[in-house]
Amino acid sequence: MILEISLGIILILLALLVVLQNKPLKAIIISGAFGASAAITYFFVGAPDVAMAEASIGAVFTTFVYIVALKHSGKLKIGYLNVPGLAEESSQGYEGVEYEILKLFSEDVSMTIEMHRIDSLDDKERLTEFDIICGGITEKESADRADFISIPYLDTNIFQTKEGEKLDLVRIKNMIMSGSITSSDIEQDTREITKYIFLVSKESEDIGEALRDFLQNIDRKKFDDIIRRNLG
Amino acid sequence: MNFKNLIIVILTFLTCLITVFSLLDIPEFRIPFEEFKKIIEETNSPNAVTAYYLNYRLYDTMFEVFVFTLSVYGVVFFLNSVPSLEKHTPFSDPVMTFYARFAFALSILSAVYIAIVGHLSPGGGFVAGIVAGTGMMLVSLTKTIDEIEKSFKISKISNYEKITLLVVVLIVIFPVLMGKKSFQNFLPLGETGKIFSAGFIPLFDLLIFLKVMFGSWSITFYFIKHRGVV
Repeated sequence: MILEISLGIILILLALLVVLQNKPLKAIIISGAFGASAAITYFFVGAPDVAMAEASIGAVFTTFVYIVALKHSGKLKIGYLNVPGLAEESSQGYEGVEYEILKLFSEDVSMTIEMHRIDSLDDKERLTEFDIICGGITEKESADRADFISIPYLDTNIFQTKEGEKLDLVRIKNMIMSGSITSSDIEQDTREITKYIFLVSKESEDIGEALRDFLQNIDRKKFDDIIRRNLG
Repeated sequence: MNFKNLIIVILTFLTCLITVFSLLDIPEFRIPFEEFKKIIEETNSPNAVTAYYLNYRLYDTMFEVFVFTLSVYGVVFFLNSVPSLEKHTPFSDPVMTFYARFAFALSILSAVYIAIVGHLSPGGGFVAGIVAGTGMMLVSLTKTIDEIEKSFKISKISNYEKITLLVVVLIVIFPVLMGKKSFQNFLPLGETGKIFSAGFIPLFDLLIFLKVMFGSWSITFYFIKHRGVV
């Protein structure tokens, strides 16, 4: 009798653990453990036939099928504007602050990411394909987008050039580095404080929630390291 | 934790609590002796569970096999619409490969045993089939898709699967030719406790074993082919 009760308590704990996991992969593995414990319980309450079936189905078979199904359903489609330092395609693949943050995020939620280059934010039809859009988008310039939630992650400044064009810090830096403008072209007193954001599609709201949680709980040291490596 | 998660947690907890209380309330496990004796005398199978679902309730079991077949075809049909993977990388770790193949041999052996003594001790066709299917899944993880596909095509497993279903239906209606009712035992009962006894129960156990083994392996094969190993 004590054995049955303790097995029942173990089943309760495992079931609660399965529900409380944030990562699907962990939940699947614990549900495999739940299947094995359920098999033992069936055995001790006098149903060895059912126990055998549960041991192979609950502990092995469904775990396998779930893991394989999880692997490919979890695909994040990301559209990026090519901005060196934030998100760019190089000979070794992709690099940049935003790419590295999204890569860490995708590993955290056990998904794979798929990068697609976009040229501007004007083509609204095309933008609806993506789950996340990145590439030096600032809070000011995209506050009025209806189909997207914006998730800020980094402080920045917007400067105005003498031609009247408004550009953010990283773009200005890239232009100065490539020599197309010089620092005297920037009007010093027009500095506006804003934030870089990720645009997450409203259709994949749960991804946005997960990304917001991820950015809040990210290891600051790692985050600073990523910024130092890419932006200096 | 948000509201949705809280509801899920409370529901899970309540379900588990009900399960535990029902475990506490299990009545004293007593089989009505006359009933039990009657079953064994009529079917000659010491495992009353198998005797029940393969003799008295054979009609239900046959449709269970149909449902299983249908679900296998459903999976195959759905996954065929998904483009198959171009690159397929099996597990290459030698230790894992060895143990997966070892477990395959072990599970096939135990599955055959469970299937042929299903009427004497706990077990039966469904359990044996799923055990063998799991073993086949393990060995498929260590081979490339071409090797698996070769064995899948050469042995024409999908054809055997269809034939098994036909044989089950034929055996079920065979007694009609002998002037009996369908779903009725037509083989000699034999001596209690022997493998060749209990009429057609071992035959059905074996057929269901093959059916479930091929079916569950088809599921894993198509999953591996179209979605790849982890």
